[in-house]
Amino acid sequence: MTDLVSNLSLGLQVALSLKNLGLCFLGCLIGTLIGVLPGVGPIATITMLLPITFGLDPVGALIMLAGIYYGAQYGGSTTAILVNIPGEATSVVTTLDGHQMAKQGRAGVALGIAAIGSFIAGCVATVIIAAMAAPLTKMALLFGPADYFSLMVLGLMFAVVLARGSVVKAIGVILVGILLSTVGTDLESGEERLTFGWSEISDGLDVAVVAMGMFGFAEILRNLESTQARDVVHAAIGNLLPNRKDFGQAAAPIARGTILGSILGLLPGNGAVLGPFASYTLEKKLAKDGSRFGKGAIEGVAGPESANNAGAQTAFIPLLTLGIPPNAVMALMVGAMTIHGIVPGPQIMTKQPQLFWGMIASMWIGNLMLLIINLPLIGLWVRLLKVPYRLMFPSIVLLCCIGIYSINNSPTEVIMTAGFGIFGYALLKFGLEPAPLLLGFVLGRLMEEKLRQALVISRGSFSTFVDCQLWSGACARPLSTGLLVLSAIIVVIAVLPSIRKSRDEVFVED
Amino acid sequence: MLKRVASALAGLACLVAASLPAAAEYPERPITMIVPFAAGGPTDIIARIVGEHMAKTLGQAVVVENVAGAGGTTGSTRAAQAKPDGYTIMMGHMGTHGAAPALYPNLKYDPAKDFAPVGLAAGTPILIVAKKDFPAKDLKEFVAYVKANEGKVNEAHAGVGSVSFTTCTLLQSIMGTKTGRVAYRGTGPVLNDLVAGQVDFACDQIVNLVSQIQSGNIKVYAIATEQRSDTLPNVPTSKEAGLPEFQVSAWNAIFAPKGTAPEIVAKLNAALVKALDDENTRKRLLELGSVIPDTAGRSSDALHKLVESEVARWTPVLKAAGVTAN
Amino acid sequence: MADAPETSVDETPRGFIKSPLDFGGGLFLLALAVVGYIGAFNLPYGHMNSIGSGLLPKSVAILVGAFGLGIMLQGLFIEGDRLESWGIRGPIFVLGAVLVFAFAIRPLGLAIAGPLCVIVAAMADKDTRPVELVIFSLIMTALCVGLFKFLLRLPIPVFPPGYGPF
Repeated sequence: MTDLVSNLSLGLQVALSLKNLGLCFLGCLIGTLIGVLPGVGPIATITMLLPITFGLDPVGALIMLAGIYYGAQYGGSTTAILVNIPGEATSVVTTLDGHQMAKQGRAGVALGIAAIGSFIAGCVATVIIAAMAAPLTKMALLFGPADYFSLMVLGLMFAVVLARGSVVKAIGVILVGILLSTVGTDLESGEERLTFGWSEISDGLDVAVVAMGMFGFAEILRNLESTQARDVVHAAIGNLLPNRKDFGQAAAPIARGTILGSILGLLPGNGAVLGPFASYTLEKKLAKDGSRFGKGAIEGVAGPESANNAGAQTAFIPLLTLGIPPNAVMALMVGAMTIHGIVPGPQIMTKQPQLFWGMIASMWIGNLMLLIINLPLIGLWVRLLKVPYRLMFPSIVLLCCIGIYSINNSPTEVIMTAGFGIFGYALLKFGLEPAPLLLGFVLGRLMEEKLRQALVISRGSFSTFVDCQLWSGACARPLSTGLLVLSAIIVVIAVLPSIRKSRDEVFVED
Repeated sequence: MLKRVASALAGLACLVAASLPAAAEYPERPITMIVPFAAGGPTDIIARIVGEHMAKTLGQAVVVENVAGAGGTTGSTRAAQAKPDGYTIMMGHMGTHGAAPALYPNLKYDPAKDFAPVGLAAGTPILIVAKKDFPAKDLKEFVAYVKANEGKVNEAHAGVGSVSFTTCTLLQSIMGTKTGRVAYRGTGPVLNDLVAGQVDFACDQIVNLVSQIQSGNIKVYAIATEQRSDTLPNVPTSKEAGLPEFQVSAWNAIFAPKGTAPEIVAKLNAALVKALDDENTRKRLLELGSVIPDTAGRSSDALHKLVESEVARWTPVLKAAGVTAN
Repeated sequence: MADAPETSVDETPRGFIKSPLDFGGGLFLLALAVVGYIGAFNLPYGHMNSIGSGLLPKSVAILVGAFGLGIMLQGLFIEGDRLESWGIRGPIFVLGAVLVFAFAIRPLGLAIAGPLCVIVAAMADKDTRPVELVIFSLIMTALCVGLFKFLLRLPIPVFPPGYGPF
C-alpha cells in the first residue's frame, strides 16, 4: 500500500508538471474534436500526429497520445447522441437510447450523463490499473482461442437481447452481419472470400464504413422523407444537465457498466468492444420495464458509456504490463514508444517507473480535463441542433465523407459507405434493425478466427470448447464452458417471452 | 461581366502555369513516402526514422502515408502507379518486393521491373522463438522435437503474407515439417498466445520480441543472420546453432516508381546514405535491433540485385507450401 | 414507426400476403443469402482439424436464407405492417453527393470537392435556398480545410495536385 502511494505520488509529480499538463489538455482537446467528427478516428489522427511528438520527451508524447485516445472515446458519444452517427462500434449502443433522448429534447441530459458516467468509470478504472495492473495481466493470458470463441458466442447473445422487435428478425440480421464480416482475404489460406473479384475489398470491410453508412446516411435518408421527424429536436429543449432524478436512475447502471467495462477491457483482441453491449443487455434485463429501452431510457446511455470508457482505460493494462497491444490504437502506441526509444514490455514498470506511473496519473487528470472540456460544450452542442435541417444534413454528409476518406486515404471506401447507406435504408424500409447487424459484423470476424485457431490447436476436436466431466467436475477449459452455459441461459431468457408472445398473438387472431 | 470573369480566369491560369514545376531544383515541395503497412509496425518505424533525416538533407518534408492492405501490395501498387516525379516514393520490404509475386498471382506490379530502386534502408533480423516451457534446450533439440511431434506442435503466424508467415514457411520447408499453423490477425495476438503458452513456436522480427525475451516470457533459439545481434548477444546465429540454410532478414528499402529521373533517384539515394551515416539515426535504428547495410549494400544497383534474388528465392518455397493469397 | 397516425394498419383488407413488411424483409434476407452463397461458392469446406475458408460463409449464408424464408412465411400468414414507400429524391442526391466527393477529392482537392458535395447533397431537400446554400458550402469547406488540414494534419489534398500551395 505504501508502495502504491509513493508510486502514485511519483506519477503525479510527472503528470502535474506544467508541460505535461498542457500536453494532456491538448491531447484531450484533439481527442474530443476527432471523436465528435464522424469517421475521423484516433488511428488516423495519432498516425498523423506521431511526427509532431518526435520533438517531445517520451512521457509527454505518450501522455498526449493517450489523451487523444480516451478523448476520442468521450467525443464519439456526442455524435452518436446528437445525430445518430456512431463513429465506432462501441458507440452504436449509445445511439439506441441517446439519440432518442435527443429527439425528446433531452440531448443535454444524455450528453451530461454520458460525460459524468465516463468520468466516474475512468476514475475507477485508473485506480484499478494503479492497484492491480500486474495481477490482472494474468487474466489476459488465461483466455485461449477456445475461451475467446465462447466469449464471442456470448456476445452474439447480447445482440439478440439488444433487438427491439422480433427475435427471429434479430437473429437473421445478426447472421447477415457475420456474413459481411467474412468478406475479404481469408487469414489462414489467403483465398479471397465474397469479394467478387473486387480487389478493393480484399482486406475486408471497415467497421467505420459499415457503421457510418448504415446509421449516418440511412438516418439522413429517413429524416428527409418526413417533414415531421426532420429537425432533430422537435420537442422543447429541457434541462441542459441531468437532475437529481436522472442521477438516481443512472447511478447503479454507471457502477455496473464500470465493472463490466473494466473486466472486458483487459481482454486481448479488443474485448473492450463488448463492454457497452454487455452493459446494455444487463440494464435492459434488470430494468423493471425493459420496453422503455430504445425509446430514450437514461440507463441505456449511462451504463454503456461508463463501460466504454472503463474499457478504454483498462485496455492499457496489457500494453503497459506486457507490452502486447490489445487493439489497433494500442499497437500504434507501441509504435510511438518504439520510435521514442522505449521498448514496451514487462520491464517498463521497473525500468521506466516515471513513464508508467506518470501515464497512469495523467489518465486520471485527463478524465478530469475531459469533464471540464465537455460539460460546458454541452450547451454549444445542443444549440447546434437548432441549425435548420436543410443546412445540417449536407454538412453531416461532407464531414462523413472527409472522415471516411481519412481512414485510409481511399476514395473507394467513401463509395462503399454510400453503398451501405442504401443498404441501411433498405433495412429500415423492411423493418430490420441495423444495431444487431453491426454487432454480428464486429464479433463475427473474431469468432471465426478464434474458432479456427482453437480447432487447429485441438486438431479438430470440438470438445475443446466444453472439456468438462459432469460427474467429477473436472474442467480442462472452465472459462469456455462457463461462457457457453451463460450464453445458453441468456438465449433461453431472451427467446421464451417472445415465443409466449407470438403464441398469444396467434391465439388472438384465431 | 462574363468577359471580366473570363479574363480573370485566364490570368489565374497563367499564374498557375507559372507556378508549375519547371526546371526548378528537385525537391520543391514535400515528398510523400508510402508505407504499405499500418502505422506503428517495424517498417513504419524505420520509414519514419530514416525519412526524418532525409528531410533535413533534401530541404523538404518527407510525409509518411500509410496505405495498408493485402500484405502491403495495396500500397505498393499505388506507389508503382504514381507519377514518377520523385514526389511519391515508398518503403518496400521483403514481403512486397520478394514474397508477393508468389503469394499474389494477380499482383498488379513486378517488384523488379515496375520500380526504380533507390536503396536499402535497414533490415530487422528474424528470430525463432517458442513458449517458455517448450521442452527443447537449443535449436538442434528444437528441430528434433518438432520433427518427432509434428502432430502435436503448433506454429503461430500473423496471417498469410506477413513476415512471420513467410519466414516460418521457409523454416518449415528447411526442417521438412508440417505442423499445425495457427493464423492470427497481426503480431500482437501471436505474441499474446505465445506468452500464454497456447501455441508452441513462431518466427518474427526482433523488434517485436526483444522485451518478451529479456523478461523470460518466451524462449529464443536462434537469430537468422550472419552475425549475432548486439541487442541479444547471447542468442546464437542459425549457422552456429546448426541450421545454416535459415538465413533471412526482413529488409526494408526505398523505391521510386519506374521512370523516375536518374538524377532524382541519385539525390534520394544520397539523402538515404547520409541518413544511414548519421549517428543519431544509426543509434535509433540499432536500438530497434535492426541491421544497417554497409556502404556497398546501399546503392541502387545492390537493391535491384537483392529484389531479383529475393523473388527467385521465395517463389519456390511459397509455391511448395501451397498457399496463395487471392 | 409506431407513430404513423394516418395509416390505420389493421383496417384495410390484405390480399394474399398478410404482412408485406415481413414478407419483403424475408425476401431481402433471402436475396442477401443467395449473393453470399454465390460469393463463397468456390471455397472449400475443409475438414474438422483445418476448417476451410468456405465453411463459415456458406453455412452462415444458408442460415440467413433459412431465416429469410421463415420471415417470409410468417409474412404470408400473420397479419402485420405494410411496406413503406421508398424515397427517390433523397437517396439520389445524398448518395450522389457522396459519389461526387469520392470521385473529386483526389483529382480536384477539398476546395472544389467540398462545396460540390454540400450543394449536391442539399438538393435532396425541397426547400433549399440557392444563395444561402452556396455561401454556406464555401464556409463549411473553409472550416473543414482549417480543421482537417491544419489542425489535424490529415493528408487531404486541398487543391488539384500541382495547382496550389498544398
